[in-house]
Amino acid sequence: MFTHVWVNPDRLEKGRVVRNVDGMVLTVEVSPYSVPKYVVGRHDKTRGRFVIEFKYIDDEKAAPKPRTIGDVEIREGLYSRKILSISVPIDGPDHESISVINLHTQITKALQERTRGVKDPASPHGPDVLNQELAEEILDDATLTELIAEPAAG
Amino acid sequence: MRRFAANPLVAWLRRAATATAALALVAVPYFKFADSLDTKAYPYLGWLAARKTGAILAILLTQAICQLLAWILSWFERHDLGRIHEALDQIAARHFPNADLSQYRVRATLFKKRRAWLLGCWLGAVDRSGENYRRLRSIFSVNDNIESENTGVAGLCYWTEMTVCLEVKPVDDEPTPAQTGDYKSKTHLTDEEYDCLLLKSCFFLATCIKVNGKKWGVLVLDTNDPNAAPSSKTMEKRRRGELEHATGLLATLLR
Repeated sequence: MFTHVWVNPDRLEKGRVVRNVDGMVLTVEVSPYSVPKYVVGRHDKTRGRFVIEFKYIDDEKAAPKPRTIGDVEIREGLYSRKILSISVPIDGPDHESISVINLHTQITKALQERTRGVKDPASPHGPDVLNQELAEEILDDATLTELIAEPAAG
Repeated sequence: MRRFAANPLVAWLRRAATATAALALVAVPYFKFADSLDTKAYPYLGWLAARKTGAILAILLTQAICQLLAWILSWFERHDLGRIHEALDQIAARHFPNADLSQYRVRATLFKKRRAWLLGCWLGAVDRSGENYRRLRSIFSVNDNIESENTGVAGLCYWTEMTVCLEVKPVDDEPTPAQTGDYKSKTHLTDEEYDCLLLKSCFFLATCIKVNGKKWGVLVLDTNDPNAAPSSKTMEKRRRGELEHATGLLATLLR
């Protein structure tokens, strides 16, 4: 069972770094290929995990090894290192047992750890920081609640 | 001569045609002197030398077929370039809707990453919007591993893989050396690249174009209209949407 949440790009504030030097304004912004179009929430009952997938305008392959931070698994793009999915362990077997606060906390901690030590957000090495800022902005309590909700039958 | 192949098959056929021409250049002198060479150690060379006419005919025939196929497919290439040009015109118009076109220029240029053995990598202009500035000689060097080898706003965008937006002070018609030096350092240009510039823009917007997740090239939008930069959050958000539209449109035309 999947739940789909569209991302409203007009509401996104993050995902850019602005430098003002000597009459020059340089803005580095997240690439159009790294702005999520919609988010999918999926309850993987066999593995006891809740998976949040980000969909973009392209279909980039995932890197072969996901990044594991504690119990949270993050799949990244093979070339761009943008977040393709975040998989979080959950306690109980059904939707009712997933707590939004718990999910949010786990995701926030994992993402903070992922970019710890990254000095330059515009660097092409390491995780895509601007894409992560957008992911964090999108996964607020309201969106997580929608993603967790059991999709309407029929 | 500008070489562009939206269809990779045309590029391969051209390579095959070049390879067979090179092979012909080697084969002809070889066959001329083959009889006097000692081919006992290389029985295959001896076998080939005994069938010179056949070998030369085979090479020439392959060459001719490759050239013919490339010529036919290049008809489709001109068609592709026409569609790319229309797309770039549309992209430039949508990105700078309030530019004063009577005084200033706006441009949308598509650069492709090109590589040559021993020469490294560079971004070569494939096409540009509008009817002016059609010489398309702009090139910027790029390097996947060394940051300082990426020049120009296009190179900077290629290096970071993100959308880059740069506003600099407009350069006067007769700039002082200090102004020129300042402009060159802010736009990451070498002296030669600066001298080749046809338009000294003051606003640049660049984004990578990717095919199957890998960097194909860079789209650069620039203008010398000092009022063209977005001046509000709404305009900045609209710009993001327009860039997404532009990359989507170009992705359908490139393979």
